[in-house]
Formats: sequence, C-alpha cells, structure tokens
Amino acid sequence: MMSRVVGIDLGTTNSAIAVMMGSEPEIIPNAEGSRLTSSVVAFSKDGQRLVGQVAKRQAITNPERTILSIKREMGTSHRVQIDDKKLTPQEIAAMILQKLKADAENYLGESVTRAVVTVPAYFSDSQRQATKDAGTIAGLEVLRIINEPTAAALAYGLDKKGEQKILVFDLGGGTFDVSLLELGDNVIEVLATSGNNRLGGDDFDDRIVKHVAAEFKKEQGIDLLQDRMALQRLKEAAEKAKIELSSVTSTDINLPFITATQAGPKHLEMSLTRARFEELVADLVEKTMEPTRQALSDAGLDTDQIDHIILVGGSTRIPAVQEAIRRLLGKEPHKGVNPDEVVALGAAYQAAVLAGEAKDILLLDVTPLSLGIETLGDVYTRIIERNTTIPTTKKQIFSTAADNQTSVEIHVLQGERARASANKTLGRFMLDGIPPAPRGLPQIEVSFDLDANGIVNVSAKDLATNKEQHITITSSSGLEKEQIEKMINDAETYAEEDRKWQELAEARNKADALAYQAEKTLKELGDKVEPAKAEEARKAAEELREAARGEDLEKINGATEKLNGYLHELSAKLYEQARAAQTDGEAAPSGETPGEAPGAGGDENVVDADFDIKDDDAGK
Amino acid sequence: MEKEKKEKVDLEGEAGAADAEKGTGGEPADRDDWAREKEELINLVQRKQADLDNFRRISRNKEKEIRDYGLLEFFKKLLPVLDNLERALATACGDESVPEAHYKGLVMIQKQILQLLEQEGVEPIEALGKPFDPHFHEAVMRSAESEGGEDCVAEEIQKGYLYKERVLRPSRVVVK
Repeated sequence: MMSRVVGIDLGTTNSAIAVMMGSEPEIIPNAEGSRLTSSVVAFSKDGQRLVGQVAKRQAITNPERTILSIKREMGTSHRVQIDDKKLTPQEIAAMILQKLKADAENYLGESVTRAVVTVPAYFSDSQRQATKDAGTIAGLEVLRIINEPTAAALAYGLDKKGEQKILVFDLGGGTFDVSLLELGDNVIEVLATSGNNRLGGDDFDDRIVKHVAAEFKKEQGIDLLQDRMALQRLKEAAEKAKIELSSVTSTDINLPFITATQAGPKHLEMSLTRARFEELVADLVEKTMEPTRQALSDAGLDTDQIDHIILVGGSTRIPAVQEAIRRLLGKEPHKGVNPDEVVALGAAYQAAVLAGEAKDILLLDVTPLSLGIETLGDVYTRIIERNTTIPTTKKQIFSTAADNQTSVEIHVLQGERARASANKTLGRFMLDGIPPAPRGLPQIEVSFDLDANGIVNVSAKDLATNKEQHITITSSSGLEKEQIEKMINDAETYAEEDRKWQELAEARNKADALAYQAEKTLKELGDKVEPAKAEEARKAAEELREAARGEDLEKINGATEKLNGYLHELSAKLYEQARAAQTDGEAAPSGETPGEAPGAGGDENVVDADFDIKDDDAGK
Repeated sequence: MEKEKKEKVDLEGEAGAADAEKGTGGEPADRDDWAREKEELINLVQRKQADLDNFRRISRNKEKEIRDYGLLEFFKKLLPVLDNLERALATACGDESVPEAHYKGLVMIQKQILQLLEQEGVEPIEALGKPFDPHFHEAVMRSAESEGGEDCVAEEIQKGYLYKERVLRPSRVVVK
C-alpha cells in the first residue's frame, strides 16, 4: 500500500503538518491535540529527547540543552553541544519533523514517508539543502522544498486561475515577510521579497501591556512591569484583548488582586477600545507598509498591478493591518483560509500533486441549485440539495394522491423556492400502468442521478410492477448563472413567506389525508358505530375538507384537531366494545395520516416519505 | 531581506511529465491499453473507497474526542476565574478586617466549584515538592538557592489541572 504524502510548514516558532483528505487539505493535530507544534527541541538531564510544548515548558530550567528557533541556524555551521555530541541544525530540525511524522502516522493510522517542506522565499541554496537533509534524517522522502508564499498561493487555488501577480503578506509571531509572486503556466516565479525579522504579533501584545501598566501607574502609583507575577498575567490578558478586538470594538481587561500593598489588594479594571488599540500600534502597522512598498518597487510593479493578496500568519487577523493593506493596494485581501495554517495546507496540496495523487483528485463540481419534483399541493420536494458534490444518486419513495390513480406525472424542477410553480421546470414525464389501489398505497421509487458533467437522469419505478420511465436532462436545460444567483437571493428574500406557505401546504395535505382516512374508516366500521357519532365525525371531515380548500392555517389546524378528536373517541369506544365482546383480530381505526410508505429494501438512499404525487387527471 | 530572488518552480512535477509522455487523454488504442486503463480505474476506485473508509474512521475518532473532551475549551476559560477567587481567599486569609463568616463563605464557594470540576473529571495537579516534570509543569523561574541534583518544584505560582488524564493547564512553578 502506498504511504500518505504530507505537507509540512517548518516554522521558526511553530510548525504544522497537513494531508489531503479527498479533495481538500486538512491540518493533522499532534499527539497533544494541538494543530500547531512548538518548534522547540530539548534534551533532559538524563538524555531524554523532548519536542514541542513539553520542551518549551522546561526551557528555563535547562537553557543550555533547550533549542529554540533552530530555523534561524539552518545552513550555517552552528553546532549544538549535547553531552558528547555536536548536533547540526538539520539534525535538530529533524527531531521536530520526526514528531510531526509520528503523530501524523498515529492520527491517520497509516505510514507517512513522503513530504513537501516549505521554506522562506529568501532561503539560500544551502539553507534549502539543510532543510531537505532534515527531512531525510527524519525518515521522510522530501519530494520538494517549496517557498512559503508559493504554498499559501496554492492553498487558495490560485494556480488554477491563469496568469496572476500575487502579493503574500506574512505577519507571524516574530517576523514579517512580504513576497511578490508571478503565476504562469504551472510555473511560479518569485519577483521580490522584503520584510522585517524583528516584527510580529508579540510586539502588538507588548503595546497593550505597556499601555495598561502606564494607566495603572497613573491611577494607583504602582509599576506592574516590576512585578513578575503581575507582568505574566498582564501579558496573557493583553494577548487575549488583542484577539478579541479583532472581532469586537471594545473589550474589558479585568485582573482582580493584581497586586498587594500595605493598604490592601489592588485590582486592575480597564476597558480598551479598538480605536485606542489602533492608535497604540499605528507605527507597527506602518512598519509593515515600508517593506511592502519596497518589494513592489524592487519588482517594478504598481499597486494596481497586483491581482491577489494573500494573508499568512495570525497577526493578519488584526483589522488595522487588513485596512492598511486595503488602503495601500486598493484591493480586498483573501482571507478564507486560516492564516496560521495556510502554508501547511498549500504544501499538502503540492505534495499530492507531486506524488501523482492529484490526477486522482478529480476536481468535482457541485450542483448550484437543488433538484426535486412537484408533489401534492404545488409543493416542491427536494431530492438533491444544492451544493451537493456530483456525481451523485439519490432515491426517494412516493405514492399516489387519489384512490385508483393509475398514473403519476413526474415534474422535474430546479430551484430553492417552496412552491413548485416558483421553480424552473427541467422536464416532465409520466409513469402509468399503476394497479388501482387506495391512495397512499403504491410505492413509486423516484431516482435522481447526476453525472460529473451535470447531466440529470430522473426515473420513476413502480415497485409493484417494476414498470419504469425515465427522462434525461442535459446541463444546459437549467438556469443560467445570473438566474441561479437570482434564485438563491429570492429564496432568502422570500424565506419567511415560503416557510409560511409550506406550513400551509403541509397542513392542507395532512387535512386532506385525514379526512380521507376518516371517511374510509367510517365506511369500514359501518353500523358498529352509533349513527349520531358517525354523523358528527362525517360532518367534521366535511368541515376539514372545506377548511383545507382555503388559506386559513388556524382554521385548518382547528378542524384537524376536531376531527382527530372524534376519531379518537370512536377508536376508544370500539376498543372498549372489542374488549367487552372479547373479539380478537378487530383492527380499530387510528387517526394517523395515511400515505406513509413502508421502506423498500436496504438501500441507504431510500427515504420514506408521506408525499403524494398528484396525477394530472386527479384534478388540481 | 531585500534580496531579489527569481526562481521558477514547475508545479506539475515528475508525475505530470510522465503522464504527458504516456499520452493520457487519448483513447486507448488496443486491447492491452483497455486492460491497463481498466486496471488503473479499478485501483482508483479501490483507493477512493479506502480514502472514504479512512475518513469515516477519522471522523468517528473526532466525534468521540468531542464527546469526551467537549468541555475542554470552556474549562480552560473558567480556570482564571477560579484563580481569582483563590487569590481573594489568599488575601482575605490573614486579613483581620475580613469577618470570619465572610471568609468561611468564600471558602465554601471555592469548594463548590472544585467539587463541580471534579465531577466533570477536572482535578488539580499536585506539584509542590514533586520532581519537576515538563509533561505536567511549566517552569517560570529557578529559585535562588539551587541545590543541584534532581529538579523539584519549590513553589507553585499557578495551579495546574488535569481533565480526564489530559493536561488542561500545566502548573506554573518555580524550580529548585
């Protein structure tokens, strides 16, 4: 069996690993359940190797044998002395890759032996080679080393859009990188790179810490920055506030018992608005604009020549950063993919392409609109929901609307509206030769089959006779692109109306079925029922039919309840009589609505439905 | 950082090139070609089936994870609130101006919260005096008097908690 092939983002502070699941890449969590793994390696006193969060936690007790940010040393002659060994940066990096590999194998239940690993666009040949070696040492066949901004572009599927100029804006925890890429025929060229390797999210946190400490000093006369414990809490609160301000415009920072004085404990209670935060970090944001302008100038490009802007790194979530980008480049950046994960995801995609799995990754389409048929009362019954990946097949069982109905008309529709008549007709056909039977008894299996090209095959089969009819509808028969959008918008605009109408239609159908059932039952029972009671019930049934012809939902519900009431009374009486007379085998009528078709076969796709397909002749 | 780097990257890779050579896209010419294509398609279907089975298995694991550890994030958020209550208690403890009854009441509230957490599988990590273990503890500093020998926890700066055997939050400690 072939092993899985993965994409790895080997970062300075954090690393991530992803794999293609079907047609989309997904991040693989590590053994601790985290989607990011700290790029920290340590050796305990007894020689035990620690990687990730565990290594980070003991860093202070073991500084000489804890290695942070090994990425900065890749391709250099730097060595780490551990006991009697001199370790190279690639050997250290390999340990991080090993953990990622092992945890991924555990999660997937398969072996992982091949990977694509990413590096910054400005990495030299020796830095790239060192990274590749790290992979080899870790037991991975490195299919390719690709640039981080390239991977990000792939994650957004930009390789499918022809010639593009892409700006990748990577603001991580501690570094800032800007890259300009040109995409051509399956070829990506790096036009320019720039950045600031001492600028990141941590700096933004720090501004809040300083601001809060300064305010507190003003109010209370105490400098929290000197208090180690308080500082720790402040830092955490600052990070939390920064994250919250990305989605709300004001947040509270509450730190009770932040410190103690002779006068008693002191509390920190402050609010921070987004506006104030933006003032505090304005210069940091501007610091990201300089390298961006520089890169554009190096590449000889004007701001309006950029086709796409991609955001990488958690700090790009900050609204002020996005706004600055928008202002400079006059365009909205892409932000659909998690900026912390986008590089690993893109690497996983590239890995699949290189391993030859991509040709197996058939890029499948989805149906833009739901498909279904018309059922009793001008109701649109969906069979295939919109945005279902095709090819697909779905079946559902329906029945007749009237007694002795010998044919059904299948009216195939496309759309999202509740009323059948408000949707687009794709086609119609009839299935006849249905043996006469009470309404609701026959089983007509309606099957929708969509192939990868969007051609719809609809068939209807009478399960009793196996008689079948079908129709083939080509993809051009449906709605055009603008009409599709209009349909979806209309569905939203009229959502409330449609919902109300659907309620009414359902109530009507149920009422109709109940009245029918009641009359049938009364007939069956004949003189077992008191004439007076029978008359009551009969009248209630007539009332119900009358109400169902109208549009008053409350009236229909009321009449339904009333008839149900009578029927229950009758059943109760009959059961009593049966018990008294000790006759068995007498099936008392129940007030259930008929037309519930029993399930047919073990086919997962068959759904029981109490919908009736009305026959053309049965009258509308 | 300002270095210009021109680099061409071929996205198709060797696999793509090999396909081009094979001339895929054209109709199979003879019986052997048909047989080969059939073989490939069968493999593809098997692979897709296997992918689906694997995906199902992973999905089930994820669901189980959510069922067993669904409250993990919530508890993480709750712990700082408990920390603050315990800070209040610590401050009130020695303070004579705090009425005994009030203090007792606060202790009862703390007990209530701890009991509730315990019922859900959340327990404090006993760190004080134990050997330092980065799987459960996070070292924030070394204490002044370092005796050498095995590292152990001299002081607990912030309590750590386990959630059903998993570390919810490591103990923040001073190591000797």
